[in-house]
Amino acid sequence: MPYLLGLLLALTTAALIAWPLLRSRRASTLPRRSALDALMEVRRRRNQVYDDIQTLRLDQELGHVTADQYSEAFESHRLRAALLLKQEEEIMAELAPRMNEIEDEVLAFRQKSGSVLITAECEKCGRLQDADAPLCPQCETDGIGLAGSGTEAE
Amino acid sequence: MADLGYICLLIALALAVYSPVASMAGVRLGSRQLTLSAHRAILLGPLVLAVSTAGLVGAFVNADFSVSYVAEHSSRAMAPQYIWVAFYAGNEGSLLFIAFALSVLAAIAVHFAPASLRPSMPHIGAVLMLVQLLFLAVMVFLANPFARLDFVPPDGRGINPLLTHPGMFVHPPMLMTGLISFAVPFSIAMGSLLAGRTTDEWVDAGRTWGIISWALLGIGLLLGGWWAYTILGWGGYWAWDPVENAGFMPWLVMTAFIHSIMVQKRRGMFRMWNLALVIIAFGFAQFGMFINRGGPVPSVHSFGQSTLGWIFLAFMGCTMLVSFAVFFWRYNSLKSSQTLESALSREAAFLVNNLLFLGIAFVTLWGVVYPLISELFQGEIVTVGQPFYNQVNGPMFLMLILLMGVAPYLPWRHASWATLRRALLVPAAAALVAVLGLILIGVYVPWALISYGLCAFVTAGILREWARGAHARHRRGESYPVAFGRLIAANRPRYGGYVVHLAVVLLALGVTGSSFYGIQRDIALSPGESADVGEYTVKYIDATARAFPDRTEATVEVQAFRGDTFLGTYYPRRDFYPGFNIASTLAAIRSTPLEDLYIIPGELLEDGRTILRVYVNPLVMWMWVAGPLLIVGVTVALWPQRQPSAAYAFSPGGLAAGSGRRPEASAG
Repeated sequence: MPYLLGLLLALTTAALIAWPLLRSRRASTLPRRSALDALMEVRRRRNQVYDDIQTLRLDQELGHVTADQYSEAFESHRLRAALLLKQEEEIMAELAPRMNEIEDEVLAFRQKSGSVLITAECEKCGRLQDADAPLCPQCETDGIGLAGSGTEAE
Repeated sequence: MADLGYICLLIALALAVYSPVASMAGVRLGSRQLTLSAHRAILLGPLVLAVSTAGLVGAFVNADFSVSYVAEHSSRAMAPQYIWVAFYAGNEGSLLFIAFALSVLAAIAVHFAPASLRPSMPHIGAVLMLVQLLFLAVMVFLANPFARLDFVPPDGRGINPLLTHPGMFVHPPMLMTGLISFAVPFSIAMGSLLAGRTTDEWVDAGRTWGIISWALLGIGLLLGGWWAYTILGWGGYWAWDPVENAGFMPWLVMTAFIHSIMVQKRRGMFRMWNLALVIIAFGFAQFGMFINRGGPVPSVHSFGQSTLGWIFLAFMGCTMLVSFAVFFWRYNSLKSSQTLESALSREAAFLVNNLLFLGIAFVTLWGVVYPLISELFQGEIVTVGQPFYNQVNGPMFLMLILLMGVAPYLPWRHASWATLRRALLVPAAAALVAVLGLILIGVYVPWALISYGLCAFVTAGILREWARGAHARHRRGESYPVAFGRLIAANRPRYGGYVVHLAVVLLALGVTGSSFYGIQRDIALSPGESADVGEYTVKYIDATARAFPDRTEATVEVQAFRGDTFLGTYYPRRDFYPGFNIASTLAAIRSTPLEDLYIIPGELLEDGRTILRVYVNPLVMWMWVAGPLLIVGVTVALWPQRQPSAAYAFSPGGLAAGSGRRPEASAG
């Protein structure tokens, strides 16, 4: 009995591990230092700057830094944050075409599966999207899902 | 059950071999499927090893003495609740426990890894599983916990009597988990380094896991002190024993790491230093395994008969060699553009803190290996005793406490002397008042006065920080309790750290009190006789002896008085286990915030007298209070905070001045 259970466990484990290898090979390339990773890193650093500002303000309130030190450090943090935001925008622009492709794929899949019945065009950029989506994925404009403005999906 | 446990061990070994190979192949070939498959192998590890663990525990429950380990560490007379303790009481079982704990930690670490670690995850997972592979391979090939005997003995040898103590349910698991958990921050650092992510992506996860492993090991060490104090019967809690030191050294280095990693997080500095620290900390943790498992240094509580220590020593050597080789391979990309701007800054204070912690760790290491060195060069074993550690490490600890009181007032980059002087005025005044008060009540030992003065200095500083922060918020209309709560909620790492510092102050109080003002007296009393120990009078009433299948118990009845006040009747006990040739004592402890009256029974003499060893240990209770406080502090420090948006960060009065409730993160 223990050997049978052991064999069963070994087979189950092997199947679970092998499962990813048996699935479709679509999009199987592991991104190396992809733009997405760069975006994550820039966001992490930006959040770190906000965290540094929080610490600086607390130090100021507790009297650990003088007004001059505070101003100098705050300006430095602000500059860092601005540079990071600029970098983030550049990466987002680089990623946009691929993101749109993914959004289109997701929308097509959802239409096919029946989870999206109504689509709507964005008032600003004209992108077709789920009428219930709160923001346009392309230009982030609010109000794309106005009732009656959409077309019924098959 | 035992057979199933062994099969699971083999499956776990296969997983530990497969995962790093698949991870690296996945990276090499650019195959996401392979890395995903390797990731799954890590997640399956704890499930498989849980079945293996259940197999061994089941063998204990069923008293399956055909399993050598069960026969060696349990008996029919053993109380059933100690089955769990028996599970890790020996070498093989403790290795299984460690492997299981590591598999759980590894699964948590890879599954909940932050997005910033994603590119390094295959490497991190591979390093973790290579560490896991060592433990599994040792069990499968050298120390199989499921090995069968050629015959089935009618009964087992029984559990080591010193382990039949409530503290044993938590202390060894915590200590073992703490030591092996060092593999996680190490793997995060090394994995990132191998993946070429040599800047600061790993810092947040490294810090979080550093604090977790530091807290686990710290609590394990504290529980060990409590166990030693209540059952080993020598009146103390720390003896600078090699095995104690083996757990203490990695803890010291990890303490340095969790401070210096903040410098990398805030300033992008100390990149090489932090990597070196985390490698050394993991190296010390492996050194602990070596000492604990049959290393050459004698200790009261190591696995004496084991020869596995040398394998761990070899593994430690390989790990150090490979880790520093990778370190130098990536050396050029580790350089930071930031420099230390001023000696009067928080980062400089952290550097001094690091040097002190490393100094204590290496002094302790010297004490541990000195017997080997003396044997090698002088031909005789010279052991290093408590006075050496106290004299060398004591002043360094005091300097650390001083630093603990000053560093929180130092801002990043540079501070001004005027601001620092103003900030230190209240704590310094509190320290002065405390020292004068102590002199007035008769405390004259200089080291004790310095220590208590520094404790007052740190405590006053922390309370002042809390008061000032809460007051600043109160001025904006918040009530004091709300202001205090939100102050902490909005700055968790800092205020959690302060709580941990308070726990350290409590530890320092206990250590100082018991080291400088403890009283010890051995007395031989006939029934009805009494003796004075300090301000106490101890009266011996009677003694009774009872025989059990595995032991004899000698219980002594004593009454304690302070002046004319009757404090109570106490029943300290001394048990003798002939099967192990071990005596264990259960001390009678009357614990108060001021001091402990601690009575240990000795042997019953033929003339009817009994020998009692009586201690008066001042302030020891505060050391045990420090444990829960430390947990609270760590929990506060690690409690997740939402990331603020740019608008919130730059708004006037935002963040630090905010309500503690944050808006969701936005793209900026």
